[in-house]
Amino acid sequence: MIHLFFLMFSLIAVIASWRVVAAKHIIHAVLWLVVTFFSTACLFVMLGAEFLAAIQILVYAGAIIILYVFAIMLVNVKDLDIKAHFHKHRRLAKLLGLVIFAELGLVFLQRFTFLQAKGPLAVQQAEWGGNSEVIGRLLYTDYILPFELASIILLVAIIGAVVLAITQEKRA
Amino acid sequence: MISLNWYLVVSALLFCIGLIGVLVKRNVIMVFLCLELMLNAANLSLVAFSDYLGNIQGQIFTIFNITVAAAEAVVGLAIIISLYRNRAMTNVDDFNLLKW
Repeated sequence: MIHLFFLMFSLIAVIASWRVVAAKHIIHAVLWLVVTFFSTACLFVMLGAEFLAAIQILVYAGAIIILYVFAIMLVNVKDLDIKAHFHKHRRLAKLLGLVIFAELGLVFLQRFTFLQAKGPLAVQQAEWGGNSEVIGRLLYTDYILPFELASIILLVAIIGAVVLAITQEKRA
Repeated sequence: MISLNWYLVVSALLFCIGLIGVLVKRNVIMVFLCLELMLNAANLSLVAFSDYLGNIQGQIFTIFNITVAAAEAVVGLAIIISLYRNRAMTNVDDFNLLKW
């Protein structure tokens, strides 16, 4: 049963991500990207990362994709040249992608004997009190400095976006 | 129980599709969308390793990854919109201001 779910979600993710690349219209690409994010969130649930699945849907599918849709709305769709939307070196690019995939596949299909597997995370998380509790506790104790740094990154991104997107008339 | 390898293969597939998209696409917003695909694939492999090793730190890394992806999307889209407003173009081949 779990194999069936894994096969289904991974197939949906791969096919949807291929549709992102092959989409004729940019809005279709964005919608297929939402499908990819949802099926990846399902894979996260299967891996025992429920909090990350929720974050994936809230932040990625909710916030970032809406941001992309707004950006596409602000840019004139006729300028998003639908006809000539492929680069001229696309054969070379596909070949390069296939070569890198072959390399990654060779590495990933090995047995990771040098890593000590401790078994599925979900069992341990149940002892610690659940996925969200463990992540919250770690974020506010061991990872407090990276957490604060992440908030500074977000602040810089907000200020940078406002400065970049401000209109010329107001600045003058 | 699905072995780690299959998650990694799915992650590699998603990553390579995103890579091909970044190389092939001419529209800069499409390039950004394919970048998001690649980040998503990296997140998947981090979470898969986190499950395999029984170590929660991979998921913490993924949270920071999502944060950086959000910041990157915000700043990148602001740059795209200001470029479009000033020069009315979204094709990556036209962005040659720094070329000499």
